[in-house]
Amino acid sequence: MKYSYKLTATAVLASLSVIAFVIENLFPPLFIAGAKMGVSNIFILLTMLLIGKKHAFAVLIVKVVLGSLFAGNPSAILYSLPSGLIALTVETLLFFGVKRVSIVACSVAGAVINVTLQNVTFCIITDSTGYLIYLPYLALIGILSGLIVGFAVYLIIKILPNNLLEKIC
Amino acid sequence: MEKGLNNIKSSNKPFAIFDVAIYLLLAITVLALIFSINACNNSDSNGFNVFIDDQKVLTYIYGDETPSFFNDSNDYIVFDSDKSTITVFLDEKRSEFNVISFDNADKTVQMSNSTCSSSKDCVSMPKISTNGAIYCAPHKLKISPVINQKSDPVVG
Repeated sequence: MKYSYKLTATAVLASLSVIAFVIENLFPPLFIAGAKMGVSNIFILLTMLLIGKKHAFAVLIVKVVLGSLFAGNPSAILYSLPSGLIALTVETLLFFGVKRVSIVACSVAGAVINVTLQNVTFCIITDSTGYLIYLPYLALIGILSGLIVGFAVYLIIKILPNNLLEKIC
Repeated sequence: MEKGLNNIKSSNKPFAIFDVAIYLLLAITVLALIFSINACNNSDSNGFNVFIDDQKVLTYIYGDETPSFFNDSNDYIVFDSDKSTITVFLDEKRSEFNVISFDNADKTVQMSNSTCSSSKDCVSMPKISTNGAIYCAPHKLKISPVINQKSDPVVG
């Protein structure tokens, strides 16, 4: 695939990810403050599968930085970026390293790691351990969001026609 | 197409064999977290502290007529016993503030309003009683429970 095609496709997926992130921030959180469905992660996983791992990391960084700035919450970059990078690393290692693991399970594992690390980072930065009591509930929300994102990515890949995938990949 | 993409295209189900191991590990992790958090559960709380930038500015014991102020905080904190609210102003113009609501009967406290950001994450944090904390990151304001502490004398 030509580099220009990869760059354009990455830019489009990054834009969609930022838009999804900003729209998601307009809605109230799920049960606990800061808990979101993570719909923007669909486009990061699609980048990982369709274009490549490095481009997926680039989309993640763009999403976190620009999305936080546009949503009016720049301090979220401190919590979201390190946890997002580690979660995506784990997803990449699981999907490409372990042979018989589905994209849904990778998404669930990444989502749980992402929310728990965000919570721990938040507690470290604010020097307050009180918010750690929400850790198990955030992990459960992470499982739910991981399932939704994983299924969405699976269905998108299944629906996309083979000839289109061969042109993109 | 890449191998991973081929596997997804060719599979009839969104699951694979080793998914079980991942879900099992996650279930054990969540259960361990629930047990460990409950084991650290404190007993009674009879009030809450308010910190701004790690400096304690107020302690309120449920049922008291007035809170205890620290570091001249009574200049910028308004206590309303009728509405059960404490308004903390964070600037001289009084344009930036947090409103803390408490319930003496339930012995709970929560953030009911704030001018911190558009998402107002602190307002959507659940009520706290004996455990937890409410933190407003943009305003560096923290609310944490007081455990079985008697009222402090008012410090002017």
